Amino acid sequence: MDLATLVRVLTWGLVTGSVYMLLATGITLIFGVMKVVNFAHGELMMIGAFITFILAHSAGLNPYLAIFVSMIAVGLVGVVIERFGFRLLRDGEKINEVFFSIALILILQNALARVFVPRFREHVQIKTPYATEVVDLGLIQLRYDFVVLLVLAWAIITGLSVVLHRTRLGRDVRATSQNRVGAMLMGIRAERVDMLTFGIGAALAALAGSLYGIVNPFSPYTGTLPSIKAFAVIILGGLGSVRGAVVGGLLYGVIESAATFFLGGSWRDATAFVLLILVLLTRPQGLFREGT
Amino acid sequence: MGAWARRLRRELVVAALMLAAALAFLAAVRELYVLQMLSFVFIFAIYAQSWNLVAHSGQHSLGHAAFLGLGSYGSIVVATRLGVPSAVALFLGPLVPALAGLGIGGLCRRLREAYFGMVTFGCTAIVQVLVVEQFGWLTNRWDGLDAPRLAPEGLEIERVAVFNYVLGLALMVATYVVVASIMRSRTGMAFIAIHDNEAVAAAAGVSVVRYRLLAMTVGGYIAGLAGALNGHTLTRHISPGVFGIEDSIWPVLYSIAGGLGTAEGPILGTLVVRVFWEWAIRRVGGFDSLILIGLMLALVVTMLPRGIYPVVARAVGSIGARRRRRAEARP
Repeated sequence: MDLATLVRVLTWGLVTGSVYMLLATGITLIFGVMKVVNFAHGELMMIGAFITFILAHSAGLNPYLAIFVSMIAVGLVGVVIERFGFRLLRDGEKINEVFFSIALILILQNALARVFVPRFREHVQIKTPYATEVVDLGLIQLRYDFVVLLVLAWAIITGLSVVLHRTRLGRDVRATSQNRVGAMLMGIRAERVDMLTFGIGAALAALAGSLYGIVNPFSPYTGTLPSIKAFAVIILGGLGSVRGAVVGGLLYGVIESAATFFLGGSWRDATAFVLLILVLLTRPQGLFREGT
Repeated sequence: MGAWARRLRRELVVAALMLAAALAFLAAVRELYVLQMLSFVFIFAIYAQSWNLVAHSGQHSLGHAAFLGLGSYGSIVVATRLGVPSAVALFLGPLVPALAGLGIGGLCRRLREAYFGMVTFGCTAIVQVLVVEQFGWLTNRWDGLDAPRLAPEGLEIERVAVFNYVLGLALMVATYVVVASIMRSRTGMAFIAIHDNEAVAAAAGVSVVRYRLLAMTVGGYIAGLAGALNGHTLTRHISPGVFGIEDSIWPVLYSIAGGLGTAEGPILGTLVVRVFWEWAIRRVGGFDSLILIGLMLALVVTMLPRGIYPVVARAVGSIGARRRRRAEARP
């Protein structure tokens, strides 16, 4: 094995890792604030991918612009889900939230499939105008899309981090995440923070889905597995920790890419869970443990 | 035996009623499609019972398909490779998922709620890889295995359907009695204690991990039995697709719709959801019927968190109470 292959495995890992990073960040933000694990995050992701696909395909919009429209749309869907779903379950048993998100999987997945399947049958992929262009890095040639994708993912995550740490809004989110009652006593409207956080998480899922759809073919049923892997990532990184989600996501992408290359394709999906089990057995608190 | 029968009096009556109703239905209806659908309901009611029993001990598995699938594989491999008759393999095969339940339970012994769900789901993905890769020589990898049929050779198709129906019914009722007697026993009390509060249960002297593992092992066996039965009677083929997410969601859905924590709930839930689905799929098509089921689940969780069964039981109970009152009022 030569150096070029190694670098190729690594970049591919970073590209898939960015998708996991975005998904995991959304899930961990929502968990931090609401203590809800949204199992339907992968379905929000696919709705995002699909909106971007439609805008790029039918309206001829540049997919990288369409992503932002898609993020806003899915963000609004997230707000609605929080307001008319999870909020009603706040005071009930914790496990009902898990059940509710399973119901959401069924609803969102099939709502998407009902629009999608009759028109497109199998899998589709978002085509970008730069599909054939490459950047020559000497050692390897990198697809132009990969570069844009990495930059975009990182820009959004950096932006989010700035919002979380430098604005009043971010402070509210972090405060609610650390201590809900305390935050409410300080005059923070926790329910509004819930709604907003769910919206942000959903928008991140839409971004993750769109990026996924640029690199891979997808169908309405594609989202479940990446989102469950994102759960593995946040357990790896420590639940509720944004830094953990970012580092864990990228690390996981690289590990998965290496496992696929060295052990074979069918290990791609099991890697996450072997890793998860190892982490649970050795470091149950995750690699990072902190508030957001 | 006498004490056991006395304690389970209500459950034994319900079991007899279920048997009688289902057999009467069989006598009245001979449509192949209906019988097959009900056989499916029986098998998945067994499966939902398993999930419900495990959930009863506070472990809400989101990867139950691992046990369903391993049961099928176990039984088919035992039957075809060792030449054991299918009727015996049906009961030997589920020992594989029982062991898997013990292992997965051990791995997750400290986890609860969403964490438990995530890890059990993950374990199912690992089981799939193990079945396909590590045991590929036994399982024929992605192509899967054909199952020998359970019904005696030379039976015509209508007879086979009746055979499957009666067998499924018998095993479902047997499972019901077993699950109900576990729930009614000291072990069941320990499950409830763990479900409600592990720390308090431990303080009261319940060895939490042991009971959780017991639930997972027994649950693994029962789910495996459903899988084996499904393989030998209905699908007649098993492939690694069984370890997907859908088969893990169904028992959750059936149990919640019917009513968590009751032995009857999962059976009622499977029947209601399945019949509703079969109806909906003809009226509005596959996608919309699944959306409807999702909405139904969302509504049940938000409005009726204890499921349908308590409502039915209360209605039946109030009829019974009225009759009893009337009987007492009579001189």
